Amino acid sequence: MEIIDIRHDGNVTIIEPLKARIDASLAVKFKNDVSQIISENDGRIVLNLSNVDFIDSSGLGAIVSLMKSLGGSGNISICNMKDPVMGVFKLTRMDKIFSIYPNEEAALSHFHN
Amino acid sequence: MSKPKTLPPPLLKISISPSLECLGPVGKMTYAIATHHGLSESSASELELAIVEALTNIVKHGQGARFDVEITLKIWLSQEGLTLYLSDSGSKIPEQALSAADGSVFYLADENVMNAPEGGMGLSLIKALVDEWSYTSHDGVNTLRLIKLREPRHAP
Repeated sequence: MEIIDIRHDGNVTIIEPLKARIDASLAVKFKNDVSQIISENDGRIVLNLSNVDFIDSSGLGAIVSLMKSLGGSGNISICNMKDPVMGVFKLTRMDKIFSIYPNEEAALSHFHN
Repeated sequence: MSKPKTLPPPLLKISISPSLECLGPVGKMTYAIATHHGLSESSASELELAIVEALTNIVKHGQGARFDVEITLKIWLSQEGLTLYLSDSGSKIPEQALSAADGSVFYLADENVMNAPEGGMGLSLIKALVDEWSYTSHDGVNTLRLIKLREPRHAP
């Protein structure tokens, strides 16, 4: 079962989770699937969370782990976060670490400019 | 809103399987009850996350090799908000982990992602998301008590 959609805009890979919840029941598969995509592409990633209503610390940890796996040679920009998801990023202060954009176009501009 | 000596019957009492598959249904149910009872969507989302983190702790860390762990969730309503008791028969949370969950995990020395935590955030999140919490362990039963008020006592 596919849990993410993958698109490309130039050399940027856009990853869009298709599930509404990224919790501990999905975090490992999510991390493994995205890790595979990252290994096959440039480390220029836009993570579009428009379908995600809920994320817990396991989901957040998966995203942190993926960012670490880039080892400074790439970046994950995050966009289209709904309020509850943004709330988790703010509460854990991950909003200070990740590049967060209101929409996909703005996130893409981070790589294209 | 301290715990009365004798609690009335809860609005709801459910038995939960020790499986991560329960996270979504229990989280959504908690959110639905909270919003139905007058909590804001924001507060209900916070309570939903708190109960999901607590259940995850039980299933991932408190279960060990046991698959017969019994988990029970009870919810009381009051004029002030919701009180949840989440009980389990698994391993109790170590005192050290409880005292270390002071939110410091979220405060990094710098904004370098390489120093960001990939885990160990659950208990700190729970504490930050509710208005009151307590954790007890007696006779093999661990109980996490969470209270979420309609109106927060302090501004976030």
